[in-house]
Amino acid sequence: MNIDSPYCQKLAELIAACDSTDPDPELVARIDEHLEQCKTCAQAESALNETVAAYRSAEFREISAEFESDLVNRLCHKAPEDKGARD
Amino acid sequence: MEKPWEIDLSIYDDERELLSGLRRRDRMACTCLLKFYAPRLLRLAGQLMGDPDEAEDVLQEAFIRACDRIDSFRGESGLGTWLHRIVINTALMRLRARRAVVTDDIERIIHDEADQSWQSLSSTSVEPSRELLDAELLDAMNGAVSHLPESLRTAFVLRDVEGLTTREAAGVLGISESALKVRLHRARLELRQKLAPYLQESTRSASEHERGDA
Ligand SMILES: [Zn+2]
Repeated sequence: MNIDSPYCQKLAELIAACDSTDPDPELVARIDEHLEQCKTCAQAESALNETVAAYRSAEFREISAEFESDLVNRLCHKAPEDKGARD
Repeated sequence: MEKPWEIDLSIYDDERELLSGLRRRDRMACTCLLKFYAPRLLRLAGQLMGDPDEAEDVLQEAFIRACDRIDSFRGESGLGTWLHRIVINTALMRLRARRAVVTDDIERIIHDEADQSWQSLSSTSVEPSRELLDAELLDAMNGAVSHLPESLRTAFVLRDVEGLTTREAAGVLGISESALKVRLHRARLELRQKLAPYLQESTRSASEHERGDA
């Protein structure tokens, strides 16, 4: 898969024509329609989806021991009774 | 850093046991809660906020809120899903506060576990990596996402990263489905443009690698 697949200019124009707060549903439908029909954009979608999937599944960074320890202290602190707090 | 206590995560493998430990404010249960969920939720908070420092604040606030309300958690949605929702709402509240818009969503979410508008959200929605993004591209992706305008970033993270449906993401953000779609298209187009140099490089490296193998 060639992940360097740009979208076509027509799509960029369609998107630019839409208001992002209150878009005309007809214009939005034209974007969907374009994405279904345009081979260049379909390839770009598929390539970007692959990159996003990898981004989604990238490894998580562990939280720092200091942050964890501070937060655990805060979470334990509000015990209704002290039971278990020194386990 | 030195740990003042030993960690045996298996003690709280069972979610009911974990909940029971959290209700007692057992230190080990609180530690396990963070071990199990904090790394993934910290990344989510970072993606939504676009700022690692603010992500830690969001995470802290979300866990404190969750533990404060743990007695009212009925377990209908699964603890991970509930925590995801609290993190998302805490992050969105902060983003909205930046714009001086007041919302009481967090209270509604915490008390409404069975809210049908969040059906797609799952704490285990992350699939195993099929292909690891190379470090440089991942860095570029992180940077590109964090530099998206807030309205585009939240649409992209909720819809494309967290996997909410268009309707769900639109509901969470309080916008129409059409607006969500436009923001998502804008976000994806912008990401594609920002990533162009890295994607070209990755594609070139892959082709060279294939030719080398042949
Ligand atoms: Zn096209």
